[in-house]
Amino acid sequence: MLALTLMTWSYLYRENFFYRLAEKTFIGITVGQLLCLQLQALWSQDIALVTRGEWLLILPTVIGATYLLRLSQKYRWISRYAVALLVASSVGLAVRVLPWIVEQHIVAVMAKLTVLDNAIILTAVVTSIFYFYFMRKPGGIAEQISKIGRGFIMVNLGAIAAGVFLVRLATLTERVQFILRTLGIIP
Amino acid sequence: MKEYSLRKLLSDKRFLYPWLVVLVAIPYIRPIGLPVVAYPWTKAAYDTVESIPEGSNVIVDTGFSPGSWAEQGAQGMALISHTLRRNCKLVFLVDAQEPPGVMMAERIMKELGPTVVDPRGKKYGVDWVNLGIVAGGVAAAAQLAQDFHATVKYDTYGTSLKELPLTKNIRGVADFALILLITTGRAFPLLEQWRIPYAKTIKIIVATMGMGLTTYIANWNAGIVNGLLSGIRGAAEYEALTKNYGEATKGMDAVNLSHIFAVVLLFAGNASFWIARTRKGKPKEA
Amino acid sequence: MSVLMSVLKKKELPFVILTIVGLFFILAYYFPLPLLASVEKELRGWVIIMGIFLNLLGVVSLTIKEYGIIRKRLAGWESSAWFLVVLIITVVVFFYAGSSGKDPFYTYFDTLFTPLDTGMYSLLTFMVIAAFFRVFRVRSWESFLLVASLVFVMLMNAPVGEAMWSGFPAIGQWITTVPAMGASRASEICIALGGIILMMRIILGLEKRIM
Repeated sequence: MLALTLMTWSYLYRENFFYRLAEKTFIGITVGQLLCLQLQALWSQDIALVTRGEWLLILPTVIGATYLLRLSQKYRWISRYAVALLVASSVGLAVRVLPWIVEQHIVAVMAKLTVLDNAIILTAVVTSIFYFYFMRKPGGIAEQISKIGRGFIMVNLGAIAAGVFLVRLATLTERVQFILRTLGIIP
Repeated sequence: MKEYSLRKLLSDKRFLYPWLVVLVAIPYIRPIGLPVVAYPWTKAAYDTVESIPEGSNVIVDTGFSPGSWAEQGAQGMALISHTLRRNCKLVFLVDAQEPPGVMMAERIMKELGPTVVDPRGKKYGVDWVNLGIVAGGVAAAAQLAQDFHATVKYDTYGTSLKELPLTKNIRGVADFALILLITTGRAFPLLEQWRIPYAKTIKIIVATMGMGLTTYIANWNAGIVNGLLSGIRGAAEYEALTKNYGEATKGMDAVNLSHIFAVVLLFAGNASFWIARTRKGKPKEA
Repeated sequence: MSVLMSVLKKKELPFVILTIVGLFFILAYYFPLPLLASVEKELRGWVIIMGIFLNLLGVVSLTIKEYGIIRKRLAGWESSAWFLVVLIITVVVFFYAGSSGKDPFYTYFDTLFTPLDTGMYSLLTFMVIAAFFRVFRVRSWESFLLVASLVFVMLMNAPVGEAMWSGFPAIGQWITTVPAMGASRASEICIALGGIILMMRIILGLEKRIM
């Protein structure tokens, strides 16, 4: 709807009632959909199965529900057990994967050293890691290496900024196209 | 003094904002039509889809919101149109943290209706299924790889997966040939829990927003990701490769003038800064 | 009973459970024995269910906060009231439709949410274009590298760059695939190494902040 787009764009002039109305509508729909989908998932993946005889699932349901007690100062301590189980599973499953990622990147860097470009990549990787791990001025040769790393990181940030501009512009083009179509200027 | 008025003009939002809208609108009214050439990572994505056997199962994460439709929707349409033309079967899912993605899968299939879905007689339940959100994050992804039906029992419409022809015989990751990750960042952990542990049997294409290019290009170069689409440019490149021109190609036309405008502003800003600095000895901010 | 409650209330017990369960998941991966695999599968199912409540917490917390603003008639309470009205309408429409892909919820969502979401996203374009004049100033060799990289990659992204000079996409591609990728790879390695260290700290109970 054209009116909703113009209500959000009214913020460019200054914050106003119409923008706040649009913002709260946006948040309300987002939160409403999230709530509904979570309740639907709770039914289909948990309660429906419990009613069909999988009684063991009552235990994770109760433990999961205690997570909501984080909102209470008095009973917050009960939620720590749910947090412990959730964090443990995430950590346990993620730790399997991370070493593989490191290995793949290191193998890829070391694999091709015959071309100048790949030597530059290796230099960029080593000096950038130096910069990340020795952010405070270490002095001497390490500082010079970190400076070179900082240069490569700046190049990367410039490339990312170009990507950010393209992303935002793409959204604007879609809105402009919608406005032109609504006004009948383009088919 | 002319340069100060020009500097004030270029930093005044009442000048900049309408001009930006006009420069974006012009190519829609009078298309420029410059060709879009595919970069190697997009070509690799195209080759990946071409390399999987016809009729393979493909799992698709459409974890993006309508705000990203211009980029990710276009990427999704280009990729899914190609897979459907190769008679691949699609299973859509979304991470619990990106609920609008459920609607985005629906929207992609609706928009492809007149061009691919209806002419080729594609049917829900046979050629594609929408699982909706799959809650549980990393644990759910790991479980889904090994025991599909234990993790998700119903599709987003409440139909049992055992009743749908596409999903009734799926056991896990071994029954899929390709992952399409079309997300803004809150992705279902298919990369970590499907691609990485089962790299020999399943391929992955990541369709990311424009700023994700430098991150994922390292993954592509390392072989973690088989192909990469970056932003609306990636979608337009893919449309050019599949000769299936759509909204991304029109959108790329629209960004031309605004990119030139941005570069001009960049040079003008720096020129005015350095002129003022040279003249008065200290930098003046606009 | 009070002794049991005082033991349960201690912070140490959840950390012990975290360490045991975390180590169990790691061991189950490196020692794929049938018993370990079946217990791991059951635990994963439990975690999936518990994860649903994780997302519900955010929704409940926000709703309670907005209700508090309305009840106390604080500044902006009308906006909070509107938020709750929209939330209730969304829930009603969803459960009437039965699913997010079915009408009338699909139409409701597409008509209202899509223009709002894209409108909000596109607002930032205007901020970014203003930044091109005011913010990207070349004051040092590092900012020069940033601006140079920005210009070449922008002209690589836009087809007009190639039309002006074939060097723009070539240089932009070189920047993306060589120096920028090197730095990006370094950050991926550091993130992964940092992640491994953080996760080992969590499993060993050295990270107290998570509780």
